[in-house]
Amino acid sequence: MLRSGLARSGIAVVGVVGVAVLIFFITRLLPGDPARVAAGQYATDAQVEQLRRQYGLDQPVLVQFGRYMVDFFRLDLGTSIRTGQPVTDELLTRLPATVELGLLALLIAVVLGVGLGVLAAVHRHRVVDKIIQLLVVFASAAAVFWIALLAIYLFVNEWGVFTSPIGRLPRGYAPPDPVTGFYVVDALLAGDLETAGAALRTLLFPAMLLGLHASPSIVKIVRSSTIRALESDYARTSRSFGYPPGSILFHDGLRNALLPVITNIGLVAGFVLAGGNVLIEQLYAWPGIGQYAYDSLQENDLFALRGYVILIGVTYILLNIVLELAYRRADPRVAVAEGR
Amino acid sequence: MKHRTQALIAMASASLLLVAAAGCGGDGAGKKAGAKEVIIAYATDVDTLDPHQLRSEAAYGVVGNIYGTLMQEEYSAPADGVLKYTGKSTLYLAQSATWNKDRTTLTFKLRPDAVFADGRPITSEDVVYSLRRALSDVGYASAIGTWLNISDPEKGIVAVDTSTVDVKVTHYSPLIEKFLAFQLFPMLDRSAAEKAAGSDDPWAAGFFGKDATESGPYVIDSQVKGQSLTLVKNKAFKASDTADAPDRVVVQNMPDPQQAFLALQNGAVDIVTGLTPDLAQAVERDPDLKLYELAYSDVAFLGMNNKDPVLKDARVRRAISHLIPYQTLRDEVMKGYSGAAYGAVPYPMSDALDPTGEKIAYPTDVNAAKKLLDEAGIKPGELSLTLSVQASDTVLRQSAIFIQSALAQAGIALKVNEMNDADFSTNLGKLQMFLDSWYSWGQDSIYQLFFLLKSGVFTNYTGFSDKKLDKLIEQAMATTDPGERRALSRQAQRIVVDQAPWAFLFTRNVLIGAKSTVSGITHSDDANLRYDRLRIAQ
Repeated sequence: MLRSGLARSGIAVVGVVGVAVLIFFITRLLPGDPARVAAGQYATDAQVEQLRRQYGLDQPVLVQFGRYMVDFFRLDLGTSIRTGQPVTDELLTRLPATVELGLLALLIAVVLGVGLGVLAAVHRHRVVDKIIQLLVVFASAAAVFWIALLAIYLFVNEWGVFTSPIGRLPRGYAPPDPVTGFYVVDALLAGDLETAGAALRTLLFPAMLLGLHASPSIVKIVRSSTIRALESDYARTSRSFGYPPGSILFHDGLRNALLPVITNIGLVAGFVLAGGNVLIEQLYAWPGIGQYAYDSLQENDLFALRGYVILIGVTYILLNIVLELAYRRADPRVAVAEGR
Repeated sequence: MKHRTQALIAMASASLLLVAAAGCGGDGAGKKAGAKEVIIAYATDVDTLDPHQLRSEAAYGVVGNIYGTLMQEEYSAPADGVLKYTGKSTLYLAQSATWNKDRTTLTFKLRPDAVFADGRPITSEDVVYSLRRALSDVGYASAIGTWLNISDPEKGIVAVDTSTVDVKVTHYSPLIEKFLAFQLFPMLDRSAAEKAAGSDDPWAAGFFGKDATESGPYVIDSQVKGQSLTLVKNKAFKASDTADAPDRVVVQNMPDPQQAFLALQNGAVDIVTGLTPDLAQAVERDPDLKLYELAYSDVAFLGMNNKDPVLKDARVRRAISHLIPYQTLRDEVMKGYSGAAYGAVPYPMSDALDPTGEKIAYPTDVNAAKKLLDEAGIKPGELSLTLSVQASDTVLRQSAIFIQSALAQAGIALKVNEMNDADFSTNLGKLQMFLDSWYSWGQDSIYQLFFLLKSGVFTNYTGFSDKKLDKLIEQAMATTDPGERRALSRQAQRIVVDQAPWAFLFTRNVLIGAKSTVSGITHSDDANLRYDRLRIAQ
C-alpha cells in the first residue's frame, strides 16, 4: 500500500512538472506581445521595452524557462501583467468561488445523471427512456450562453424564482468573514442563516445550469452500463431466484456498472471545476478563476494564464488520483489485479 | 444496501437544496440594503488601484472618485438628469491657482482643510510627489506630460511652503488646467508611498496597485476580487458638499452586457455603463429605466496603412471613403446613437470643422469611388484588401460586414480578419486596414491630431506622414494665442480631410442606462462618472 502510494505520488509529481513545462512553451505561441498589451495604448516603445525588462521577457527563451521553473518549484507563479499582483494570490483568492460552484454543479450533475440514467435503463425503449434521450440531446446541443441568458430572463426577471446573479450574494448582503472561502459554509459557521440562505440561492442558479450542462454524458454512460449489467448472467440468476427488482437494480445493475460511471464522473468533475465554468462565470458575474482566465486571455496576461493552466493541470492530476482510489473502493478486483 | 443508502442521501441533499432555493425566491433588497446605495455595473473588473497604471473603466471609475485633484471639472446645473461639463476647471483641493504675469508659473495653494482619509493633512510635498509620479514613466500618463509644457518635473514642480506649490512651464498650455482636473493627477500620500517604495519599485506601484491613500469624496470599504468594490463616503473630505451624494457606491463587474441589462431591469443594479446600441434601445423601451445618451468625439474610423503599395495613393483612400455606407452604419449598427465624423476631429471636439455633427467628408457615392479607382489605374476586381477588427468590439465587427458588402460594389474584395484584443493591439501599425476608435481626454483638436496623425508618433497607426500637417501641429503646440491655435488646427484638419488617411465612420455616443430614480449623470470630459454628483430619488 505504501509502495503504491509512493508510486502514485511520484507519477503525480512528474505529471505536474510535465504540465508546467508544456504550458511554458504553449503560452509562448499565443498571439500578441504581452509587454505591448500591458503597456497600453499611450505607451511609447521605450515604456514597452521597460516592461519587457521588468517581466524578464527580454531574456532568451531558455533563461526565461529556467527562471520560470525555479519560480514554479517555489510555488511562485509570477506577477500578473494586467493587475500587477502575484498570480498565486489572485488565483487562491478566486479559487473558493469556483470550487463552491463546481462542487454543487458536480453534485447536481451526478444526481441528475445517475437518476435519469437509471430511469432510462429501467424503462428502456419506452416513453420515459425516449423523453430522457431527448432531454440529453437538448442539454448537449443547446448553446450554454443562450440558455443561461434565457434562464436569467425567465427565472429571475419574469418569475422571480432566483435572485439576480451579480456575484456570490444578492444585492444588499455583505460577504461572511472568510474561514473556508465558501460563502454558504462561512455564513453558517458565523451563525448567519440569512446570509447562508442568500448565498445558497445565488449559488444554486449557476450550479444548476452548469450541472445540467454537464450531466448528459453521465446519463448516457449510466444508462448503457446499467442496461448491460441488468442483462448479465448474474442479474438473470438473481431474477430466477426471485429477488425484488429494486434489489437487482442496485446490487447487480448499478454496482456492476460503477467503474465506467466513476471514470465519467471524474471527467465531468474536471469539466465543471476547470473548463465549463469559464463561460458560466462570465455570464453569471461569478468571481472565480474561470472569469480570471477569460480576462487574462483577452489581455494576453502570460503569467496569469500560465498560473491558471497549471492549476487546472494539477486539478486534473489530483482528480485522477481520487479516481484510482475510487476504483479500488468500488471494485476490489482492481487492487487484486494490480497485485497490491 | 449500502449503495442504495448513499444514492438516497445524495438525492435527498439535492432535493433539500432545491427546496431551499425555490422557497426563498425573489430579488429581495437584502438585509443590509441602504437607502442611498448605488450599484454601478461596468463590463470590466477593477484591474488595479494604481491611478497611473489602470486600464479598465471600472478602475478609472474607482480611482476617479477616491482621489481628489487640485482642480475639478465645472458642471452646469442638472438638466434632465445630466450635469454637463462647461469647459472650465474650478478649484478642488486647491484653494487658489494663480498664474504669474507671463504665465510661466502656476501657483497652487492648498485648502487648509485638505486631508487624506486618515486625517493627515495634504501638504505641498504630497502634491509635488503626486504630480511628479504622474509625469514619470511608471504609467502611460507621461505621454500626456508633453501637453503641460513642464520640461523637467524635478525642477518644474516645487514646494514653496507646506501648502504652496509652483508648477513651472516653458510656455502657457491651454490644456494644463483641464488636464490637472483629470484623475491622472490625483493627490497621493507621499509618506505612505515612500515607505512602500524599493529600489526595484521606486514609485511604489506594488503598493498603489492594491492600496489607496484616499483624498477624494469616497474611500474603499471592501473588495471582492473579480466581483465588486464598495466605496463609502469619505468623512474627512471637505472640498465639496457631499451631503446628498450616495452613502455607498458599489462598482460591480458585469462582463456580459445582456446580463447587466437584465440586472438593471430587475433592480439588482442601478446604473449600467457602456451599453451596446441594441441594449440602449431596450432601455429606452422600458418605462422604469432611463437612457442617457451623451455625445462625445469618440471617433470610429477605418485606418488605411499609408505605407501600403496601393493605399499610399490618396485617390484609393478617397475611393474607399466614398464607398462607406455611413448612414447605414449609423442606423443599423449604431441604431442612431451616433454622430457624423467629419475628419479626424469630429464634433463636439474643440475647434472641429463641423459644428453640428452632421457633415460627411466623402458622402457614399459608388460612381465617384469607381472613377477615383479608375484614375488610380485599378480596374474592378483587381483590388483585394484585408480589414482587421477586434473580435470583442461588436459595433466595429458588425460595421466590418457592412463595409465588406459596400466595397464589393466597386469590385473590391475585402477579407475581414477578426483578431483577439492582444493580437490586434500588438499588430497595430502593421495592419493593411483596420477598424478602431479613439477618444482623446480633453477633447482637444491639436492633441488628437498629434497622437493620431503626426509623423513618427507611436500612436499614428496608419503611418500617415504630411510635412505641412506636422508643421501646423508643432506651431499650434507652441502658440499661447487661442485664436491662432484654432486657425492652425482648422488648416491641419482640412489637410487630413483632403488626404483621407482614414475613412471617418462616425462618432460613438456614450450610452448609460439607469433606473428612472437615479440622476446626476456627469457628461464629463473624461467620460467618467462623478459618484458624488449622483442622486437617488426616494
